[in-house]
Amino acid sequence: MSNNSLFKTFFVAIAVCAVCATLVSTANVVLRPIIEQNKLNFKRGNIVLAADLVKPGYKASDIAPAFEKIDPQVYDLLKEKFVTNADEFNPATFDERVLMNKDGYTLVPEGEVKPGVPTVPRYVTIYLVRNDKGELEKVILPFFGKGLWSTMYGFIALNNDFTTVGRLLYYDQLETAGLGGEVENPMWADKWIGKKAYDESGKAELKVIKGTVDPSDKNAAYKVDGISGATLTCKGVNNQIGYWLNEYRGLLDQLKAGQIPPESKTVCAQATPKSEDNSKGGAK
Amino acid sequence: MATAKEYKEAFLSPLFATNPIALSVLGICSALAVTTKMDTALTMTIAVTSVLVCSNFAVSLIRNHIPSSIRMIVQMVIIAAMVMIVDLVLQAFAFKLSKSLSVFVSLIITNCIIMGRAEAFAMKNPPLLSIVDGLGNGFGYGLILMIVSFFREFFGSGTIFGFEVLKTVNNGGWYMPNGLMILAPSAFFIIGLIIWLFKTINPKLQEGEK
Repeated sequence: MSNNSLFKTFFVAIAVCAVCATLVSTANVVLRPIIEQNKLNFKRGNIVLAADLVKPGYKASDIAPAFEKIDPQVYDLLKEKFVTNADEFNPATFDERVLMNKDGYTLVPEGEVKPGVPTVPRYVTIYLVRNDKGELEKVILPFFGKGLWSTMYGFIALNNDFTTVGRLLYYDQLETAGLGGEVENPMWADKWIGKKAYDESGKAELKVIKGTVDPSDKNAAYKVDGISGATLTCKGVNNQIGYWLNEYRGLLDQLKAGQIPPESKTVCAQATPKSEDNSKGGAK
Repeated sequence: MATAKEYKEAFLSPLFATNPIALSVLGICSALAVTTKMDTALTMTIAVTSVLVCSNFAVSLIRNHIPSSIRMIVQMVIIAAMVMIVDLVLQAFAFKLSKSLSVFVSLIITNCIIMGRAEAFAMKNPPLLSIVDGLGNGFGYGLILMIVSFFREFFGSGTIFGFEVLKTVNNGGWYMPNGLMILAPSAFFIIGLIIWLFKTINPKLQEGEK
């Protein structure tokens, strides 16, 4: 039969599509669990790094034992309270990025400092770190926003005075490699350690400046060295941090007043199996 | 059957004599994008070579049955499928690298070398010879990528394969990295110099005067 007959044309087109589709879907089904595990491990690795439970350059096997010490909690930014009802959200599986597509988001209000993205999630997962006595030691807050090219995702860990930065790191961004991308450089991330997030009146003051910080400056504790060649990315960093530190003020006030939610693990253990269904529903 | 000489020719000629980047000036887009670091360039080379080998093989296998009216689409479907599989494999087994390559893995689909070899070679030659041609072109592409990324990473970040060679100012050293090397235009300059070098060493490659 001629290659160019109508029948053969359709036959070849359909056959090639069928074979290729089978190959791709097989690869997807086989590899998807590994990929999901990689993604989860990557995120958890950054959480335990922010919590100082592991050091930079940690191994994949260090993540799981360190993550045991982390207590994830879902927080409602609109009502400014913790969601302790595990039937509604299971903090262990909750992903704020997924809920963005449903009704669980709020529009960013017109304000002085904006994160550069039009919407932010209403519910976020924050992470509490307790010491052996069960006292709160650190709180790890997720934040994100626009840099120069990309949406940048990071964590900021605050010590239990709720203003001293334990660590700040970015784990997902697509800024120019070598310039804006240097926000992921551990050397730069180290510069945030010990800085103050809020001034005495409770205003979010922390920001990246141009050039290096003068140690004799009385406001040096609120300032971080800029990255040369990354002025616009740093501007984005300032907007993100300014916006999210404002958003989290209610949460931190609650923690400061001692309104600390019970460990989510104990709550989830009592939760009905329905919570599993909900978390799956969220992932669809 | 193809002779041993043809195999040798199919493998060696794309390395220098008909190098896809330096002589055909194909696949430039990714050569600009992924050459800031040597490890990403190497991963990209492996990814492109495997896609190229697989797509060349598959296209060559069914070359006598592809209707000419839809041959480009058929090649494209095969290439796209291969790229998606490579992308998934990278995400599963080289997660960190796949993050730094980001969209450029998916963009292998539009890499002109792959489409070019499918159309120019695999459509006319038997499967084994097409595999060798794919390997040759993949390595030819990789060779240029490695040269470009070596210069860009060395002068732009002071490292080679991520190992520190020149201690940069950002890391408390003395070397002020060359910002131009990080940005895409530097790859243009380096590729331009490579093309010049290739054509000077082998004057046969120079286009005749019109």
